[in-house]
Amino acid sequence: MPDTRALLIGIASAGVLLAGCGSGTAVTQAAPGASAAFAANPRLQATGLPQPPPGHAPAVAQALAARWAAAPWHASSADAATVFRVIDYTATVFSPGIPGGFTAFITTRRTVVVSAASAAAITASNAASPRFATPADRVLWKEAGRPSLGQAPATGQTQAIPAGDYTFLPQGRTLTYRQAAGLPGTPGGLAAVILAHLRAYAGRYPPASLTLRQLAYLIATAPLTKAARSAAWQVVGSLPGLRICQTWPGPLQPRTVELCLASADDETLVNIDLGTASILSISDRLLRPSPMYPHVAAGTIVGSATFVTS
Amino acid sequence: MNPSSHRKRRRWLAVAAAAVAVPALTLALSGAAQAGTLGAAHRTSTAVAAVTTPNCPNATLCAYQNSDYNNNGASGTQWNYPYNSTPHLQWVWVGSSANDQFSSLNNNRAWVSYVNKSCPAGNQTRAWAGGAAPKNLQNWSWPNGTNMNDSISAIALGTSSTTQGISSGSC
Repeated sequence: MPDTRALLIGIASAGVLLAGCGSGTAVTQAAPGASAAFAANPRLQATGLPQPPPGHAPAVAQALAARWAAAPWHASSADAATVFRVIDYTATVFSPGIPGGFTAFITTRRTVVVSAASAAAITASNAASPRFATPADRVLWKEAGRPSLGQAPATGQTQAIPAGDYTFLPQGRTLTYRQAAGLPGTPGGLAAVILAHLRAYAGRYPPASLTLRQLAYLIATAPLTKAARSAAWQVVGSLPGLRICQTWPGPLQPRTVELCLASADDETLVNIDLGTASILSISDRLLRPSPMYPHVAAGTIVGSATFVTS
Repeated sequence: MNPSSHRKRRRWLAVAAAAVAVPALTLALSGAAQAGTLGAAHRTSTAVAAVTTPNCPNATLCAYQNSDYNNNGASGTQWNYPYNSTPHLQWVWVGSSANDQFSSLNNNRAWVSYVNKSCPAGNQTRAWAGGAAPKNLQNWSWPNGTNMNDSISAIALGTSSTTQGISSGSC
């Protein structure tokens, strides 16, 4: 679905523009409206620092790790809430694997504030009209009586996650705020924790694409120490199969790079602003048709999280 | 927890206790065995359920890629199995990709829905009462004690509030 791809690139490009509006300090400040909170996915100052070379993917990740290790970053107070804003693009599938099944995509804007107790307040609102995998899917949806696709109200709704329940890892055991803030500052130590949280679900050797997804969400949303953030990038750089899928040019050299890693059925893509060493978006791409996504072509993005700064 | 949550919780437990794991094509377990299985399976207390149960169409089994109905940590795909378009009392294969498996469920139906660890379905089966909405399958396990999160391979929609036999269907 090329138009979906174009939409995502557009959103990512908007993120690049927003990322360029930094405060001029070493790292970004908390988002507007959350002045007491720590802004997740901090960004380094774009100027005056060397950028990683547009070489192969592990070198890019290692260069980002080195930049964070050397960053003059002052951590926020230990109990500061962390906040991030994200535009989620997700699939809603009806009757997968069954004749008459169809796939739609919805777009939701979320603001997530996570306290040190790992309680969260999530404000969600619908951000776009639904899209369908094919025109036939829209017809099937209408024939099914236009069931709800799960969109949030345009006016927004707030959800609460109880203390101790919010997790900074999409899959596996819960990783709380304090556990994230206390992650080891060494690649081996941090990788061991991530794999331990996945082990019950994906075994000792989870798909590398899943590990990349876990790490990217951690980097983009968790209150990591500078050392842990650097370690996370080092682990990213060590993942087998990591490669550069695409670059977007800056004035002198690539400003945005897309790292990707494929497993059997899907691929994780991570868009990175090299100037600020921050993650712009995390996406999942379907590599081959699947009965779990009726009428969705191979190569289609079936989910993404685009992080925004305003 | 508000009174409504209490009511939902009591209803969930009461019916879930009567609708525990059943091997494919068999129905009955003793009451003692049911209680034991439920206790072992539900290792973590879910007394607090402040997360809003998500939108899920009526008469539909909804499954979510991530815990807390995709509202916690990361959003993800939602798969809906409406009663009107899903075969009844038959196993339906739900894919095999590690990223495509279920981490939370909402059985927004009056009747029992079933999940199985394997396809073809084996005896690692769990039945969810109407209205059951396990928000994190990491807190649940199969009858053999293994974790249920990201391991469901087949689902089936029952046509009764009590457990029934399930045929092989697409498995």
